[in-house]
Amino acid sequence: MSAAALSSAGRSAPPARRRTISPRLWKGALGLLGVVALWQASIPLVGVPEYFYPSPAGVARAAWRLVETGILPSYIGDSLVRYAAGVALGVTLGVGLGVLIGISARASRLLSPIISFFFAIVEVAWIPLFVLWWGYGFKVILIALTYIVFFPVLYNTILGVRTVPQVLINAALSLGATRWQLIQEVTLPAALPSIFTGLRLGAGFAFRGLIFSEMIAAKSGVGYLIFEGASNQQTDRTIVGMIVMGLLWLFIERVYIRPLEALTVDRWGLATRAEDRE
Amino acid sequence: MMRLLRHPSVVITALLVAGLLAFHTWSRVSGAAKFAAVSGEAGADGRLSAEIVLNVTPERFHIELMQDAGRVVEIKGRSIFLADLPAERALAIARNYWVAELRRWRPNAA
Repeated sequence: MSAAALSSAGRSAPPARRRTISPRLWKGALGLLGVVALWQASIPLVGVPEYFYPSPAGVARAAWRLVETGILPSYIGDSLVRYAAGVALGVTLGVGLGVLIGISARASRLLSPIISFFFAIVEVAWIPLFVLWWGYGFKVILIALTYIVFFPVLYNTILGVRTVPQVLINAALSLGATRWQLIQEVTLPAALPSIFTGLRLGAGFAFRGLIFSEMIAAKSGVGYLIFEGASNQQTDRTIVGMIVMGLLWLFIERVYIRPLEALTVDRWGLATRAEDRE
Repeated sequence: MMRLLRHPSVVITALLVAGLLAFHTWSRVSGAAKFAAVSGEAGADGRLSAEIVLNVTPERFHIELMQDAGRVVEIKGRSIFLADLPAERALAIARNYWVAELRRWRPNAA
């Protein structure tokens, strides 16, 4: 058989693509099953009442009850709206001010001391004051989450803007780019990987902050469910709230944050993900 | 553009939005059907009294929601008796899937 015939035969029968579940997913599912099995096995060993240390089956029953009563969907909706609004506002302010401070020495001199001052005051210290000023509810949580997201996004944006290679800026200027074009076409794209690092950090911190804010300043939400469950000795509900929080974060991270990061890596190739180096 | 539309994140978001829209449509239709039982009860001020029958035993979550809408007069079994309930709030309550039905009820007849 000639080389051409061999090559042609190879082309006419390409190997069939088999859809398989990734080993990483298998390992993740196995790890999760292991934790649940250990938890179930520990129930008779611990030997304390169900309301004190609920079994996985008890937690599943509590989850179903919370869905049946409409409490869980309503609380998840409230938490997600607060979270999305807080992250959006925090990112907008952080990127805007970060770019301004990054490109303008005057803005940096003016704003850096104030920002450093507020950075040192954790949001936990602010929440009781916010409650005093605005009462319980959406506004307080929105401001708290914005505050949490703002700093990591701001500092990473400043870092990204200040580390844009000078050769890129010079090239754009020599081609006649205006200041706005320079920001839009060079600075922001080059700073995006840093901005996404800040977004990932801020979004993660905000998720933790959401639980805390809802415990203090809300009458609904998954954080409130965790707090209310513990106060009423409904430990199973507290654990449902914790599991829901974990699952929501997994969803947000896998479906939105990682693909966004990957897009910036693909397009600009200026950052590498940890998993790429594995 | 087509590559972006086929991205798993976009597909998952589209499926979620479609699911939410379908659920929203279903709750509007079923809510209107449940509300029909009390729609003629509204007085000149647009308020009515009704017995809200839930699918589950009422918890604090449900009672607070009802208190926000009208005046809770009594809670018996799975029923919450509400007075001074604006008609549009009654319709909003009827749209919840955990509400089984709305029944006619008059406070002085109780």
